[in-house]
Amino acid sequence: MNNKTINIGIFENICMLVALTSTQTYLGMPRMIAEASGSAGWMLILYLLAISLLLFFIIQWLYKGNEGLDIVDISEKLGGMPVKLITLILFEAVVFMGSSLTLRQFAEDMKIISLNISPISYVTLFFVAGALVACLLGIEAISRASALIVPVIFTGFIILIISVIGRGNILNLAPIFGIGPKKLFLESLPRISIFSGYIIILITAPYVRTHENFRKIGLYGLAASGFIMFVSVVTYTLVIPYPVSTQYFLPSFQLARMINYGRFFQRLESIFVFTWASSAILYLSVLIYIGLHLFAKTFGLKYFKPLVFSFCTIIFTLSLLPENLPSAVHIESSIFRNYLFIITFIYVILLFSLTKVFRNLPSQQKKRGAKND
Amino acid sequence: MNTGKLKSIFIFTEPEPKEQFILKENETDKKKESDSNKAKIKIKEQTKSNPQKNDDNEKSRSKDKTPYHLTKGENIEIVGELDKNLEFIKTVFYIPQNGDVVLREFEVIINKKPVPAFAVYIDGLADRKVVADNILNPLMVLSNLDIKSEVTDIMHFVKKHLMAYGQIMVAKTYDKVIEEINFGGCAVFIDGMRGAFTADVKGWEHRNISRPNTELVIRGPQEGFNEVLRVNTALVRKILKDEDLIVETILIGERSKTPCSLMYIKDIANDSLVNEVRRRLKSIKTDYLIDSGELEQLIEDSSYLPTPQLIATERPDRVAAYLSKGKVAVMMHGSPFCLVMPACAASLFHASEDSYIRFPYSNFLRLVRFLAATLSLLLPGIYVAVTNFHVEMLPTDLLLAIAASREKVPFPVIVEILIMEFSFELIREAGIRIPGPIGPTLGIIGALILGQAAVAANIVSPILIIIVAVTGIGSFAVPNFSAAFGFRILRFIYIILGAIAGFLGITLGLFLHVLLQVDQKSFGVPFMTPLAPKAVGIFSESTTREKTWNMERRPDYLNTKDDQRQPKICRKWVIPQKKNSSKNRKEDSNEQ
Repeated sequence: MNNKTINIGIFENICMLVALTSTQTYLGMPRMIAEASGSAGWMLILYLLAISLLLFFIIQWLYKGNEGLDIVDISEKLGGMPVKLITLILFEAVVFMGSSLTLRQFAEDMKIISLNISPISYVTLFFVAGALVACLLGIEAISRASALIVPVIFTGFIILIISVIGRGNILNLAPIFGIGPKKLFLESLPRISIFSGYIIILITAPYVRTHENFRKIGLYGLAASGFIMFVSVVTYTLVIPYPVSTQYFLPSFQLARMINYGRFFQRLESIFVFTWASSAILYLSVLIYIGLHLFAKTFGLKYFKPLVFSFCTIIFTLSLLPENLPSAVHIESSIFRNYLFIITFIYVILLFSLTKVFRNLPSQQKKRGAKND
Repeated sequence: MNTGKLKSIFIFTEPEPKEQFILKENETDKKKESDSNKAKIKIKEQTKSNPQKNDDNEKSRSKDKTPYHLTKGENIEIVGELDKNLEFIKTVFYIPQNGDVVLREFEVIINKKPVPAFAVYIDGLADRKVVADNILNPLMVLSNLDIKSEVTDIMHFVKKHLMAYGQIMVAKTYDKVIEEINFGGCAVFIDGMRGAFTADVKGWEHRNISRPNTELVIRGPQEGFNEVLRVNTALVRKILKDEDLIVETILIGERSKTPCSLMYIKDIANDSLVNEVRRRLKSIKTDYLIDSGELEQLIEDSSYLPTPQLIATERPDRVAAYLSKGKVAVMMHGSPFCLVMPACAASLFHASEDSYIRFPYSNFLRLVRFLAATLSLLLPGIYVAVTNFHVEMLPTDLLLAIAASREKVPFPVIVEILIMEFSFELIREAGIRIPGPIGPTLGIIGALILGQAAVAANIVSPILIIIVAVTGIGSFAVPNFSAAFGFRILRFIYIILGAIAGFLGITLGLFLHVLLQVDQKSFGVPFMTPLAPKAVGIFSESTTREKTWNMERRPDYLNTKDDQRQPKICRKWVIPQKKNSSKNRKEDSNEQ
């Protein structure tokens, strides 16, 4: 894969990160947060944001000195093909599970919103088609599309929030600390998975050139995603009181249904299909591209395009495995999200730490010195 | 029915031979390409080594009535014998078969000796009066005067004393002479001269400068290009008045040899951009090039994308503005449209008037154009999607109104809208092709079909008429003709997507549309810049219009040599007067 001519800007990278992270806002994330924290969802998000920023700070520090290398290169640097394979297997698991579950959930949501009588496979195909074309066109096209689409999605999100915030009740935030700050903190740790979207910069790192850019993208991207999630959770809690908030499968859809301004502006939830669906297609495109990039790079393939159709077919098939929406939601929130952070944060920190340690070993330094000579 | 006919139904009979027209291959096609190449090389060699033999070849070709076409790069040198040159020119220009080629034989007195000569030009392309007064008159009449000169060489003598015209060149090869004659020049051959004089005496009829047909403005210059290249380049020069403005001439077309002008400002435009445009132009191999529309298709990056990747304009002021920003323009002889490159998506929504009206107005107009384009692209698709999949979002009153209006319509919405859109396209196409005086009649018929009659016949619902009308008006509001065309085609795709999956289908369409657009490049510049990839000055000039005094830099994405358009404070009068400036003012008044 020729990386020399590709150059992805900071803004494009941040948009991809936000697309990967905040897509959950349109799925069951606000409900999941309400289940975990009651009325103190806002605090949970702040906790998670703080932890994820801290972890990313460590990751970017460990990454220093590896400019121009992505996670596959770093794995190779550490232990050659075996480590590369481990990285590949772990991350491909994330890609396949994450994309197929998200695909299924969004397809089910669309069925509920407007395509009631269409078969699920038919609805799913629309998302897969978008992701397929995006992956065929490559990371440059995906990143630029993100730079155009994410601001539009964000605008849609803000319009939604402004439209429903008037129906909120400040008393719904009480008790303000929910189940208690300490307990909440301890329970929040596995939920850090919701910020796993930062892994995109582990892939696009060679295209961003400098460590400073790498750091900026991660910090700004996570902060922006945190802001979106915070606003989303707070609005959901304000408008729909706990424990009713734990009952809705589609929190954003439920919020959109509440828009009611005069006789004309009612039932406008369908308009938000544009932002939800484009957010989902973008999410799938980025995630599938990560999988393709990792696979092609691990095995030294010159082109990844022949893999695109196969990857999309596998993800499409996997998305049809859960019996229905509740089972897809269950797999995602109870299994996938609970263990995702082990791969996206802990494994990455471990990998980078070992690389840094071995890099600083006298034998390695000698080797490098000999090479330089 | 007689038995013969009945029999012919069941039993095969050989069909009677009928006279059919078959386009026969000409003689040259039958020969193999290698043979023809060999022959050409042979002719060339013969011409160089033995002019006499070459002359025999020419005569034999003339005898066989086989046309002799010079191919580019042959560069056969002109021989000194007038007879041979005369024979050659007659063969090449099919004289006397060609009625508009004028060949005038005469004698010119050189050093008191009559020397035979001839002039050749194409009537209608060359200016007869200039040829008579400035070429033939000095050679035929003034050469009889006693000219005091020690020059003995014919070429130098004639050039110095008898050619009373400014734009004279000496051509050494036949192809150069033929090229000049074909482009309105006059060639003069003189016996004993191994070359020919070519005079630029172009004088063909052409359209005068008039208002641009497709880019009318209320405020701003009212001049448009015409079909004459030099007039067009002069119109741009007249505006820019910059000695760094370069106008390079490049001939395109093996046969047509159409002159094209590559224009750029040397100390602003990026060299790599200029080189790339030049490379693309020079690499074109075609026989004839008629219009800049063809040229556009030959140099654009992708032929399949719905939007154009070059800007075609017939306004000199617009070209001048683009050149001053660092873009490159290509003009073509015979076309009133100038191609400007690179183009970005935002520039498709710009009109030259944007610069001439105050910035709030131009921003408002740009917003209107963007909304118009969106309506033209999406409105029918959204209507189909809403009526088929998202009826809940319609307020009850509106829903009942739509249902009532569709009560008697037998077709589903998708059929109804496709009928109307197709009818609209039909009227639009017919309106362009139809002869002028019948145009208004067609408009009335179209309006009747689209409006009252279709509704009265219960073929379409009245609300659909509004949808189609707004869509049509929206597409006319897009300033770029090619972009509007792209939207017209894409609209049908969005209608189908809206019909099969509602807003989800339209979202998929938009997503793919965005992907294709961001993946597109125009001469190395991403098409969606400065939005994606994000460039410096994202909201200045390229997307929204900035205040004129605030446009300090040239577009970032063009990587110009000089990116400063004007100083940070270009309106010096806004700087507060310093205390000591009163003293300066006094001095100024004293000086006065």
